[in-house]
Amino acid sequence: MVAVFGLFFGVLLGIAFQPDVPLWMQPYLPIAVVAALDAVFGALRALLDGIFDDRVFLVSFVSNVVVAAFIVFLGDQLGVGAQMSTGVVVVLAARIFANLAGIRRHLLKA
Amino acid sequence: MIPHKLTIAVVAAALGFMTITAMRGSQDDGLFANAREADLVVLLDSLTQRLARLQSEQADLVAARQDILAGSDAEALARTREQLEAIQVVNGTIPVEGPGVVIKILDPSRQLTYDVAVSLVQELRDAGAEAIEINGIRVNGRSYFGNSKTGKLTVNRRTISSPITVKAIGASKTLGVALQIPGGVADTVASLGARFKVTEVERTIISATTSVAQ
Repeated sequence: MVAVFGLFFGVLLGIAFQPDVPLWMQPYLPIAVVAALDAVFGALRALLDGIFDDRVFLVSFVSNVVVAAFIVFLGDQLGVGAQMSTGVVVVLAARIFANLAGIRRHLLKA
Repeated sequence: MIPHKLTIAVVAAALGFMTITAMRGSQDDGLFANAREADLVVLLDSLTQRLARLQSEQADLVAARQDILAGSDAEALARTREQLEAIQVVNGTIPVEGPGVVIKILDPSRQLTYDVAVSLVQELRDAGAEAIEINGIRVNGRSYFGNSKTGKLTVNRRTISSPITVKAIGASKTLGVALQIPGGVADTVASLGARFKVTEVERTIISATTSVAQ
């Protein structure tokens, strides 16, 4: 419940402040968001599995975001930024689907 | 195990904030936001080149306008005559004389099809040929090629039989080189079993003309 409120609050904050994304951050923010979503779905699954730990969630969230952004940054420096972004998004999307499968098994028993 | 609520709320808020910000970011930037640096450089280059081309064209046109405004009627008339002649040459309504190439094609077994003829004309035009004549038939922008029922090549519905003589007026060296490009028309004709011979000439006359109301 508190997570939903937090999410809502964050969205409101974003809409209220309309922050301009700094130029250096622009390629990395969408990747960071996808990485964050992966962490969140992982947490949701852990919650349903009964092994949720807020410390693990926090660490996985932050490290996911940082590592994803860093990988893309590294790719940019090596000249394969576009391909690297695609690769990272594909991997994260695959993980999100895997987590969703776990959540689905719990919720729908199927 | 009870999750530490504040942590979760903060992380969720961060996720919401990030998502909204990212969405706004991707909406704002339009077309070039996702383009890579290299692509943008290429794009900028082509735009700069186009600008330079258009600017020089503009300068030419302004100069021409000045000439016409400042000059006498005779100059304007001369300029118009020049333009008329250029148009007449392109349309094939007047005879043309000048340097160029003479191509002889021996095709006894009638292997030459219209597509080869089209690419021959195309290659000559690409190389800057002003006027082209095939066996006494002037080729202009409205000419067309085909194959008759007996398999003979036709230009404007008139049958062309071997030996075929193609005359083209333009820079003879350029035309000669263009025809001999590996994999070009000369090779195509040779692979069909016909003989193809190009002669670069100092002076040739294309006397055949076409009427515009063809």
